[in-house]
Amino acid sequence: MLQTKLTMLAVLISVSLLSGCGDSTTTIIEKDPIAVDDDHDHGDDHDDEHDHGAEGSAGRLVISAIDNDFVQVLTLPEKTELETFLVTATPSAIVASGDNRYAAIVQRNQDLVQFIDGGLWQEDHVDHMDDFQAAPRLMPFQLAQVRPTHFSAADGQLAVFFDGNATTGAAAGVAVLTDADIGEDSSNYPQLSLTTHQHGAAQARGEYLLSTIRDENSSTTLPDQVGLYHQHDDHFDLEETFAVSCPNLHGSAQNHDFIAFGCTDGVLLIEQVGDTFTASKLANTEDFTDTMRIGTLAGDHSAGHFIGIAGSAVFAIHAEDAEMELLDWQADAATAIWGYGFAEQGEKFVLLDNTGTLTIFNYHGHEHAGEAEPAFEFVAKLPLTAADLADMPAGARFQLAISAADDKVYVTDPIANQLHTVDLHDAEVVSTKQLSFTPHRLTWLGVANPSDDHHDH
Amino acid sequence: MFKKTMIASVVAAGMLASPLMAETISGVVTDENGQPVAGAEVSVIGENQLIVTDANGRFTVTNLRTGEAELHIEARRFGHRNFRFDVPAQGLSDVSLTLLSSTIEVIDVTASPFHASATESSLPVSVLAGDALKMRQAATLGDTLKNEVGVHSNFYGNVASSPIIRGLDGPRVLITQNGLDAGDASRIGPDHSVASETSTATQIEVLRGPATLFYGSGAIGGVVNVVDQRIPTDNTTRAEWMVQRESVNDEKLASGSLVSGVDNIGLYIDGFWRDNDSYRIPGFAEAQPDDDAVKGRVDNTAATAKGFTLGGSVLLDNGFIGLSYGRLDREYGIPGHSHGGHGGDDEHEGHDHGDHDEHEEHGAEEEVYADLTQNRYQLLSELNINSGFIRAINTKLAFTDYQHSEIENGEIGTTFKNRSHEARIEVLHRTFQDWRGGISLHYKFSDFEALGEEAFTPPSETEMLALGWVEERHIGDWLLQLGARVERVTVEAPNVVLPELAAHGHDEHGAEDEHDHGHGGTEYIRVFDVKQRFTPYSLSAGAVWDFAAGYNIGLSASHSQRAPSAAELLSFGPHISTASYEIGALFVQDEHGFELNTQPIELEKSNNLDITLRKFSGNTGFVLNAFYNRIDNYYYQKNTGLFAEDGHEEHAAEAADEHEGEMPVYLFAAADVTLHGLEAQYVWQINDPFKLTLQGDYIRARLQDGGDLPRTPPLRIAAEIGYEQDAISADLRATRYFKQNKVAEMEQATAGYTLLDASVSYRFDVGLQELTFYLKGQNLTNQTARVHTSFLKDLAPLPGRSLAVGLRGRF
Repeated sequence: MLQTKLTMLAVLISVSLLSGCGDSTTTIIEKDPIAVDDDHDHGDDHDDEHDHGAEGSAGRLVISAIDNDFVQVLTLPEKTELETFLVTATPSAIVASGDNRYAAIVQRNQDLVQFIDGGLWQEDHVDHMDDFQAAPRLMPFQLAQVRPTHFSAADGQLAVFFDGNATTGAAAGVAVLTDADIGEDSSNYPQLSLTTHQHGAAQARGEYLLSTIRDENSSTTLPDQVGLYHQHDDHFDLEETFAVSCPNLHGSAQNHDFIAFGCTDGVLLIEQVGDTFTASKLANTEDFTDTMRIGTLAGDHSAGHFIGIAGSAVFAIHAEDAEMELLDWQADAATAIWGYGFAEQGEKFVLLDNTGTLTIFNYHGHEHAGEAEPAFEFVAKLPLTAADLADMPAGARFQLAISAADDKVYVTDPIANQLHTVDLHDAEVVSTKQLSFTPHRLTWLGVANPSDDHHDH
Repeated sequence: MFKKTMIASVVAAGMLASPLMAETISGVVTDENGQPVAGAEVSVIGENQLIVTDANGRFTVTNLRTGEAELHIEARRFGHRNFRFDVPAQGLSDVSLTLLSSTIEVIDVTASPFHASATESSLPVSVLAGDALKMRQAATLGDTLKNEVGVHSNFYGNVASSPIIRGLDGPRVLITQNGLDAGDASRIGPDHSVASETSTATQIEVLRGPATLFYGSGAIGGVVNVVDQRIPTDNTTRAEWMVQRESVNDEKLASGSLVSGVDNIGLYIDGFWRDNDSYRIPGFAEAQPDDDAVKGRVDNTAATAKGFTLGGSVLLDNGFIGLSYGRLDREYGIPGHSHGGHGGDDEHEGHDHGDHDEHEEHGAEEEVYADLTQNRYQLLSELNINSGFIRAINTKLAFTDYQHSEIENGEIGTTFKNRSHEARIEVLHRTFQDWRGGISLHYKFSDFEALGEEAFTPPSETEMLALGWVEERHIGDWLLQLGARVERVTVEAPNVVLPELAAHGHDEHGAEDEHDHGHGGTEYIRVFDVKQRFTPYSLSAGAVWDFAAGYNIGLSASHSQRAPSAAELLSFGPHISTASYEIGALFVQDEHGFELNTQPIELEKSNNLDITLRKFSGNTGFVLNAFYNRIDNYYYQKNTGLFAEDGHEEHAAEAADEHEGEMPVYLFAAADVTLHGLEAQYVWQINDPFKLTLQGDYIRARLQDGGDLPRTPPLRIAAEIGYEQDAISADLRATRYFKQNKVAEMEQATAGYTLLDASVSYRFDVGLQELTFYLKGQNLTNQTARVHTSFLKDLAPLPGRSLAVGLRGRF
């Protein structure tokens, strides 16, 4: 019902007026309206303000539409709308900040990243943590460097890699942001300026930064080396370029001790021990065909394993043991992986494929040592759509957001315009919300380890 | 000053090159008593020549064309004068030119392409410069200029006051820095401070009345131009500095500027720092104080500001070109920005006498402050061309990046950003058929954004391109000035929102949901991509008639048009500083609520008549001015009688019948208005040390269909007695603001008040430096004064008695 209404309203109305004496013209084009839940204005907020704990601990979702420049913030677990914000252009991606308070609203082609405060955060009072809750808002803080592309968040930091632009000659760069930088509209967060453009990646490690290096004479936009940078005030200085190369580097991740980069010939692993970083190459196994390579990596602070994705093949990579093992995820008809990640605080690993099916693994990597039990234990496959995949709107994908606080993940279905909540523990869909728009990108915001002390704001 | 040296060298070069072609006029400049006037500036009108008379008052101008020539002579304490000659082939020698002494300070205005000063122009202008500026400089531009004739301050609690010219302000008064738009957000909200500093300025010029001819739409009410030497036009080393401490708000000020250079390079640097606490008042801040109100201070009016400017120029034989960079940082409390009252804390028992600690707590509870940053780049150039039809090319470019955030309880509520650039090129022609003048090309672009809770106006881009033409000539005793300008203004806003406003009158509560899409769950915010294009033009004709020696009459008739600003068109949201929910002229009210306006958006059109009578020689002088200004489609905020939520969610549902958390809804509507008024200034040099100045101004601002406009300045008269002899100067000034009872709907009358100010200065030299030590007292009788032109009339009176002590120096 909502959909038809929206389509009707989406008809463009053009008003053109001309008044006498050649002095003024007005052109007004009506665009798609923004849908707002009616109850929003009449007291739900009020309820939120006095909600103690339950709402806050489940977090919030930030979601965008496929062809529209707004983002919505939904409260969990209800998935009711808290606020809708207009941003400058249709977001190309939405990424959570280092502490999951802010959502980076990436508008890659506009060279712009805006930020939305999800309104849930935690303050460290040394002896205890206090949780705070406030209304979401659009932040004044923005990034405006050229082609913001790869974002990696870990341990309170968000590393943003700007690809630069081969056509205009704009060089690549990296910005490393803490949640405090975003909240204070800081201008002196550390930045790295590179000398040439590249489709690169960066991983922040406290005052260190690992970022890719591309030879400016290279024929590809992909980098082939990694540098270790050290922060000095608002910039990074190169300390070391690792001798171990990484041809056509794409994809990166980190865990407690290691930083991993995907290369055509294997995975570049960099181990950090204190201030010492050591690089090594874990070569592709015989499971790889000539055209296969790991181009996507996933990691988790607490997980000993990385997940490497090569097309539709998935590898479990144990960095410390330098082992790489093909994982049987029972791909069936799936030919691509559109969403992935460790979930339930590292207890689970999930894959969302292009058939709209969620694959769930238990992860036992923590007590892995010496046990025969496989690190990744296949648990279930959960098909989330029965629709004809050919009805997928152009450019749309099934998308996944993973809660950092509990065992829920959220999956969008752009064919049916639905948003599912999946309980990983029970491997079932617990609720589905009908959306009034075609969903595109989403991320989860909130407090990963909620305390008992809640403060309304 | 640069002109003197530069032109002298031009002249010298010219004489060497072709001495035979040069017609010359030589002679002497004297006063009424035949005494020579040294240091008078003699310029050839329509040419690039400026000569300074020597100790005997003698001058020689050369390189004149045969035929008619006109010389302009100016000197300090004398009225400016023009003399015309028929220059024969052999030239003229031993001419005697007499200047008439004047009690009126005459300083040329740089903001006009016509030669203009307080005594010479067809439109009234005034200039605050020199020691007078140093004594009156205040933290805000409005307070600096509030004693000028025809200028009032919209007093926003000492932190963001901006000038009102003849009852107009906001989008009708343009603030410029060296002739280029200040590029801030001060035109859209009275709590937004003007991004310009007065302590480092060399002069501040006020053009009263329409100046759209030179500046376009935003100047329909006038222009305030802050001039400094950031791009030096000479490189004589000189510096000025001042330190001051003021009692009423514990303001500490330090500022200074330095011009220097080598060879043909001029360099400039200035810097300032100000810091003040909330100011003291004799009574309660609120007109109707709460039970727990505390006397003695207006909370949240502390400010701290600092800034610097760097500039450099290349001094050429025929002009200069220079670049500057300025940075301004300012943090200031926003008084009266409390949302929905005082947090209802019952613990305050201190209403017998303001206990300080408690008082501070009270202030901290609802602290709202603004954090402003501006980066400003300017390029200025003047190039004189020695032959051909084109006499000079003047270029001005600016790029300004402005941002301020309003921070509530430590969190950013709203951020305003304005990125703007501007270019102005004037091409002046050589005197042609006795006409002097030129054309100007003017481009301005502003990318404006407001983000956050108080983002009442959507992001927009405004672009203006204009072509102007001005000419003037003398005919007998008459100076005739003509001008025309046409501009194209486009306002583009890709995301103008029209929410379903839950506005309601105060008896029925939001039963308007009869819309076609009302079934339960979902409302829609309609979104529009809006493009507006306006083509306003301005025409002006003026004359100055020197009907008797030492007297003249200035006459001006003009038609000016203004494109409404983006905020006036597109707003839809709560504007806390004006305590109103503002809805732009793009929308109209119907029985369901607010809808898109399908009527054309009209230009504001002003027809203005102005007459000025002046006496400017002898020991008395006066300037009397009357104006009549009829404005059609004057955009103003009309009270709709509705109320809407103010956007702060603390007070959501429960307060529906009280007004708490709600604001009256104002809709920008156009109506025809008439403004007319009188301005007068009389100066009498009683004897050598004593000088009496009397001045007054009065304005009426009426809606054509009956009713008055809000916040119109009251009748005001002032008397000042000045003393100046040897090293001492002093003044005592009384200003009476009368009761204003010509009020708009829903507006309250404001009582009159008298302010008494005084100052005394002592000059002495230390080495090469000239130092001045001064004491300055304001509001000496400690009056509680509420300013009718202020949005905060009922929340923040003027500061109480204040003493300032300062030292300034220059070399």
